[in-house]
Amino acid sequence: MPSERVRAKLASFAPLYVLLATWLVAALTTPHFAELAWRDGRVVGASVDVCVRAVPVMLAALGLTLVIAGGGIDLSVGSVLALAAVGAARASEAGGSAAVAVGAAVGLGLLVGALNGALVVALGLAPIVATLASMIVVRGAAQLAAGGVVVPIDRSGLVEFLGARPAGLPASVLLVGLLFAAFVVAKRGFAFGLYIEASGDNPRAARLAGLPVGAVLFATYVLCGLASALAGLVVASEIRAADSASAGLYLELDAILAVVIGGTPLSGGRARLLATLVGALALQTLATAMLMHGLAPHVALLVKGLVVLVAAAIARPSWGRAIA
Amino acid sequence: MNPLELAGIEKRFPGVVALDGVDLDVRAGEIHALVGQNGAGKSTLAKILTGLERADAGTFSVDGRRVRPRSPAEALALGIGAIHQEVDLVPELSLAENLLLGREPLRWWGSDRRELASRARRALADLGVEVDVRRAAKDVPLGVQQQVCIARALSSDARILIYDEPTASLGSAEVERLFAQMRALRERGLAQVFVAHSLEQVFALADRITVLRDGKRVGTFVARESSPHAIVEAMLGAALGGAPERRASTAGHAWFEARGLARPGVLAPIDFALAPGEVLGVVGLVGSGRTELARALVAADPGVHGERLVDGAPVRVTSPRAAARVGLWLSPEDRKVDGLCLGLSVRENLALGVQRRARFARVSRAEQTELAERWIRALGIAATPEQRVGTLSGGNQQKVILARLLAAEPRLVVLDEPTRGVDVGAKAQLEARIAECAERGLSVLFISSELDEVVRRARRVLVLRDRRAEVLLVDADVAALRRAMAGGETAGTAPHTMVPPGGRDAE
Repeated sequence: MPSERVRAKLASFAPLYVLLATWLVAALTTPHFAELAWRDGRVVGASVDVCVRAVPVMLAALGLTLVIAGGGIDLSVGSVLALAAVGAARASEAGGSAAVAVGAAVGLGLLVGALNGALVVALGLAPIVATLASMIVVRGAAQLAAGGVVVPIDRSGLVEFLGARPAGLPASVLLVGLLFAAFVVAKRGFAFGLYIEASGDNPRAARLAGLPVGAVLFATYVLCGLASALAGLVVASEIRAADSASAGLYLELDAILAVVIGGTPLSGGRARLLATLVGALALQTLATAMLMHGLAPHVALLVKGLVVLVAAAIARPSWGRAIA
Repeated sequence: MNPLELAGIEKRFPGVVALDGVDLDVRAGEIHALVGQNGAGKSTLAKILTGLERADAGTFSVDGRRVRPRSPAEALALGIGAIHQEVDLVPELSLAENLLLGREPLRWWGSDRRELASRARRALADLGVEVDVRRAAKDVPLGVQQQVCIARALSSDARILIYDEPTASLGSAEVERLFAQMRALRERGLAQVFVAHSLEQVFALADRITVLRDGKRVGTFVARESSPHAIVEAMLGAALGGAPERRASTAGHAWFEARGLARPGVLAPIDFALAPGEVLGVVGLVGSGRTELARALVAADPGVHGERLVDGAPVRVTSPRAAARVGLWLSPEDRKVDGLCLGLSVRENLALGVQRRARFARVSRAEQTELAERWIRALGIAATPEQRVGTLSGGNQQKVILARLLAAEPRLVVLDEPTRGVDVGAKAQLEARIAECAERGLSVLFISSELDEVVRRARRVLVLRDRRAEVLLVDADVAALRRAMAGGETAGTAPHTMVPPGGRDAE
């Protein structure tokens, strides 16, 4: 029997096993799934497609990882995505440059994040209640701003900005890399990571230890709002429109799943950013493979649910210690 | 044939041998104490007895029959009842419901409340406890909750009772009541195992004492023929020198002053002052306002009134963070709930202490590890830097908190029951460390229910009663403190006329 340390080390790579297993099964059963090619200065193939399609979930899940590590939850990520998309579309419709459109989306994301943070930290509402309310309110606000229609993005500034392919990779994938790097620097380079994890593990003790617990938790919601807004920009530029009714619908569920598969405990106290990305990629690999197989949507749902269960069971921080 | 016999019990956890061939036999009508340092294996043994853990090897017999309980319920079915340090009642349910949980008298419409209440009342009356059994468990004092646990075990026909540090959270009156009950149950022929830290209590109660050290049984002693000294030597595995009796000097002027420190409805205004290197003792019965004073000083709860003066100038302290900024740190009474991030490592918990000074710039991993290793050595913490704090024993957890406080380079630390649930060896180490820091100029507000500890450490002792300052005693002995705590006649100074440290008493 391996020692506890070795087992813990092996268990911490669980999300990676899930991703590799999903990819291998997909590659073995799906024709052309494993192929990669260089065409017109771009890398193309199913794996690249998986990365691109996973971008919105990866972005939102990165933000959500911080919130969950702090002992909270944010259900409004999908609605924030929609609001940010509409904001960007409206801004470019009104003649704003790409920068203005990006600014509008990011501003809205930060604003909703700040509101969520205030509800939880200042008012002391349960995070699930506060963000469930804002999920509904923000979706409504997005539809109100869109005026009940799909707002097209005609002016190409924003689309070109995010459609660019530096180094043969889609800009949106690089955006994930940037946000990930920024979060890692915040977590590792500064005390922020320790502050979040301590606040999530035991807020009372963290407060008595002199930590600014309220400010730290507030910041996690703001960053989550920012991450969701970036996801909104990506979605809007991909479909060249902002659909306030369907954009980001159920995104919060996939984002939570990605975090859970990544092994960040829902009870807080640990933030596993890279593992969250891996979890999101595993989900998308599964979805893409089932799509290429032509699996009926209802069968796909069944398969996805089962895979998520298995993945979450493997990624549990401790085996069978739920009741002890 | 004894009711309870264990032979050659072994239990291994990853990396540790918790129990290594332990024998134990408990007779009917006996109170058998189980003592040892933190990590000696007494809690593990208690867990095996009560079905929370299973032994890897060895035999476990009840009334001569080999058993192997796999859960507390199975243990209870075998006649083994457990009374834990942390009372395990369902807080929202009534006392009666808790007492008969899983055995409620049923009618076709559900549980029969009247019958439930009368059965519960009878079970408690049998123990001499008068209480409204319809009250929720969370609304009655801990001592009463514990009585309900005992009544629950007895009403399930338990013949063997295991008490795991039952007095750790009780006031002295409640402890006396519990002891009277245990003696009464002894008369009825029950076999009782008493896991304890306080040797005073052990000798007040136990017939025989089994000492564990490093997972092995050192020996079983007949209490009447033994002495605390002999037991401590057996626990430590070394001869004891005389305990060092040192009192912190009270030289120098007060640098810190609290004026009218109060929290309406919780704590009446209190004044006190502290000199560098002074240890001010604070004593009082449970509920006298000791913990409230500690928490008020660092503004742990909102709505604290009064002034704090640092070096003569008033400072604004509205949160523990602000308190830390002027050098005031609290080691809270409940280390698991308020003190530590149990899911984080020793290194991370210690880093929280120094991180405040570095603000948001991170203390590097290498520095954190170095810090952790230094404090682990300095306080003799039995842990590695990367070990999760939740896996440490109580004494080691307390040391981690103390290390975090001291690493923050404080000017005044408030230690609320720093030695509660800590074994003799660790207690001495903690006390020595606190004295050392005081000698280097650290001021200490020392709150403890162990009066001899207070008398040993502090020249001036603030006695609290009914959530207000009763009296400030100088060079008092334990008996005088007891009298003052109980509100008897005292010849001390009224606490409102503040004695300047190093002033009147030093002349």
